[in-house]
Amino acid sequence: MKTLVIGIAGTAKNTGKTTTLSSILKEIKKGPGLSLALTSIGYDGESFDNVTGLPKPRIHVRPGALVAVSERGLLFSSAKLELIREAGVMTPMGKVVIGRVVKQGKLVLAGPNNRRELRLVLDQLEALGVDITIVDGALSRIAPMVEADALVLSTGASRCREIPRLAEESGCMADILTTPALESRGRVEQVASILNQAGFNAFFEKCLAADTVRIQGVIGEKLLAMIADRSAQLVGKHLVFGDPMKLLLAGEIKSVHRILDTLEKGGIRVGVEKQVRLLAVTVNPYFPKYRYNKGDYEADYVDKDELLRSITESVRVPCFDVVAQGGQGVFGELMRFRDSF
Amino acid sequence: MAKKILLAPVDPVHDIGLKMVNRGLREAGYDTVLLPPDLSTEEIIQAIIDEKADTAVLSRTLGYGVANLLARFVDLADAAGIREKVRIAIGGMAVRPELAQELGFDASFGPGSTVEETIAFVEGKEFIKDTNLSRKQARDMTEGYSYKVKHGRIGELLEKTTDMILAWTEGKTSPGVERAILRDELWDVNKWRGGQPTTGFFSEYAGLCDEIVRNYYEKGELHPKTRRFTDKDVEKLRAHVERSRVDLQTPSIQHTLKKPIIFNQYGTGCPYMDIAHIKASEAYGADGVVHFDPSWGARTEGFFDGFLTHQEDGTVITPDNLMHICESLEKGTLWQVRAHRGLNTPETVVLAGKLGAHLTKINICYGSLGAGTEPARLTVDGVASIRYAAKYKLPFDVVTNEELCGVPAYKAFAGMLIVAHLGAALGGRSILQPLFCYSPEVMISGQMEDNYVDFNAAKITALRSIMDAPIWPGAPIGFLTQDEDRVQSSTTTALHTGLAAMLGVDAISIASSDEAYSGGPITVPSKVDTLRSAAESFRFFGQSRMELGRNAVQWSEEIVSGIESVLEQVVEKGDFVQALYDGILGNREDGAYPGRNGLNTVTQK
Amino acid sequence: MMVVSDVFAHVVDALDVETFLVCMSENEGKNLALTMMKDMGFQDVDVVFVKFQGSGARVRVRAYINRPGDKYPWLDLEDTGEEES
Repeated sequence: MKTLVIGIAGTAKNTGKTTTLSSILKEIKKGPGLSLALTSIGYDGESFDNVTGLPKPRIHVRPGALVAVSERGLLFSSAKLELIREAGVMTPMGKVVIGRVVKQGKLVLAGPNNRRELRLVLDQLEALGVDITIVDGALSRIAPMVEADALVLSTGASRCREIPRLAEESGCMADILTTPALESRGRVEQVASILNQAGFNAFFEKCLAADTVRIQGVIGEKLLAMIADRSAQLVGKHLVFGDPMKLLLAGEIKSVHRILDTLEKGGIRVGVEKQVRLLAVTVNPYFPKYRYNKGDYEADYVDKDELLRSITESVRVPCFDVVAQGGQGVFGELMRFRDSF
Repeated sequence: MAKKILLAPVDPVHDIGLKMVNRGLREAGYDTVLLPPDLSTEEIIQAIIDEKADTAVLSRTLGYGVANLLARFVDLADAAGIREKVRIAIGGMAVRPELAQELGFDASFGPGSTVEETIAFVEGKEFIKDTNLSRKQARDMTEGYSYKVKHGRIGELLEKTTDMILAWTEGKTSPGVERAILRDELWDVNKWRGGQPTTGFFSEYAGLCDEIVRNYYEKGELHPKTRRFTDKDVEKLRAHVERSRVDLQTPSIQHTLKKPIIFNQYGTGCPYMDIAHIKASEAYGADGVVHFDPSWGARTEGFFDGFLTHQEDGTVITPDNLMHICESLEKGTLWQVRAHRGLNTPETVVLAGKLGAHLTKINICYGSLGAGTEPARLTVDGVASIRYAAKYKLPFDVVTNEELCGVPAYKAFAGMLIVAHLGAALGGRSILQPLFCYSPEVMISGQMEDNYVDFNAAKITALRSIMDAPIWPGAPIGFLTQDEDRVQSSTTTALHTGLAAMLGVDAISIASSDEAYSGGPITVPSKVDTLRSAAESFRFFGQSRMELGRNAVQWSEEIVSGIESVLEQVVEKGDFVQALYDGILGNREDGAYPGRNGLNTVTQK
Repeated sequence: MMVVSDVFAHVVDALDVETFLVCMSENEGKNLALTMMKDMGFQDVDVVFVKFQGSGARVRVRAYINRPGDKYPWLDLEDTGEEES
């Protein structure tokens, strides 16, 4: 059976990605003996947050797990690996090596931090034969996660402290992430990225002349809005983006969502080439509060019940608070997906 | 094909660091584009596309919100497809590899990054910090010196003293020499490193040692103040040293000068703690480190073995201790293991040689007049030590610590020159080590009432006019000018460093800011204090020079004629050992006393 | 050996506190400094430097966290690898 690649993406730092990852790992340990590989597109493992100075959780791995990690992180890990090969990828923290955990312990997870290199590593992990590969995210970075088969999105008060606003944004995000696939039909044109007026003009010309325009790269928010402004001239066209991540990156999420709505209402079909499966959203009531009088950060929390309730209402996928509920819920979604995979 | 590099300040204002990198890259012949500050993420990405850059370097100072901004930039660049072809790096004051990793960059340039690193990144080459550019090379400070004596009469006298000493020591031996012979001929260092037994050595060796050492070899009893480390301890230590090497840069603190080489001492009693001290010293610019052993070592015939820690000041000399310390040193760090006093002098040189030391220390006069070893014994041992130093190619310094007892500089220097000349005759390479100190001599005679400059300068001038030899003032410089005040202590060290640099000496030993504190062991922060202050002295003075006072010339001449007069007396006596006993090289009034350790241990071969 | 919190495991050997204490004599300055350190929870303390001048004493007072020959906690900073519950 093909390896299932799950990405755990965050919407900001401290939204609970690592805690979510740890809770999934605990469930895997309890479960029916699934073989596991771990990597990351960022860096996780320090005892204290790089910027705020507050404590951060670290990942615990067990013997048998495969990992693809940067060398420098290994120096500071208590887990020991049997090295299998070098992945042929270089990161700021040294070469990425692939190994099997032989002594359990804490692992500093840092790995291939862009899409191309993540693909290289995932292919190598697949070749070694694992049931599940989990890719830990970094900050709010999402572009490389297009290589995953499915995503778990972690959000929380660290992204926004006002629950209604966070819920609304999470709903928009989930919608955008689940933008359906759209086929190219009729006369097809292609553009790379649309980042300025010149780029927009070139795109518009092509769009007028074609039935489908494939936008391979990214688009800036103002330019996406420009398409909406001139939607009358583009009724019936298909706009196909590479994947939903590119849409998420267009700009402020609620604005982008609004613009996409306008486009749909205006008769323009917007879709993606590669769809993303969003399995679950996890929520974290924690946020680092900046203390102006002391110039440092302290831990603070929003109402966790209200947070979970609001987000659940807003997004159309299952929502969990892994600290309050444990990881069974998220893990359950993973297993359900796997069965249908 | 030439690489094109785009540089973008993500700050609202221009980044000086980025401008300097830009300049450096252009000078190296690269085609660069430096964007103006305050552009949006999309504008920067479009610029990368338009300019067809191969590489992009961003710079930004950090704060909490900036991480997200940079992360979005990388994300957008990745989604736009430019990460397939363009390598992107982030630079700035607070940038570390972990941060660049988290943000998604290919490389990070933190504080202290060089243009060479940027170029290696642009070219896609792995920048190995281990290159000669940022790693030191161990230097031989004796290179280029001839040891020729420039002063005619002194030259003649030194020839005579050398002949006298060699004739006198001919056919004589001592337990110290015998043990050194065993260590040299029968103790196979490679077998020992490999853990193989060297029984042939030990059966004979133990018999030549004092009871307390013999008991160790025969019954396994350790010296009461020592304790052995376990294998687990060793494992942890090795891991710790490896971790501390990850980011270790060994800066050069001499700024625009090449000398003096800076030495720090170590010897807390525990080799582990010493290693922590040594790594700190290296990281703050020390070029070399000097091993301080306990004073009972000088009074005890024979060495223990094993990886041992010691309760009091001074780290015990054992092959294991030396080996572990040596392993922890950076390749370019000079390591001195001193043999200059005591009953183990020649064997120490052999061990130092076999275990990879760069330097040792030998002085017959100081050892016998100020450190308690019997003159005849130390003369025999001293000559043997010099022969071994020559054999193992270990330069050795000859220190005039007797100045601290009260012996006037000219007498102590006479003794030092005798040993240095003897050394040259035997094929050894000595280094003169006069003291820069507030000695009893100057306290009484007043040469330092006004300043600490002139008399120290006079010492150097005097020695230079006599012999072409390297000079390494100690020990440490500024001795007795320090009090326990951190700032005072560091300042006087810095100023003495400045003087040493202006005088063009080859090396100096500097103390910590704990030098005057005797209530406990020296701490790491105190060592860092003086390394920092010394560095500042180099930065401040650079290659400028100071004008010496009128007295400097006069005192220099007085020292030279004093040396000549002492040598005349030694030669007239016709017996070097007797000269030591008679106080010609330092007498009771001066505060020098012939030692008694090892009395009656010299025998015919 | 006392540890106020785990952070002290990172100190290689000692901690110096430098300050200026209002007092009437060197002796008083010294005693104040030692008491200050003991109040903060340190035991192996000593005054490295004290000079009374003017309105008070400039002091450098030290707490040895690790002495040569002790077991050093900074060699054990890598954790044991046990899972948090």
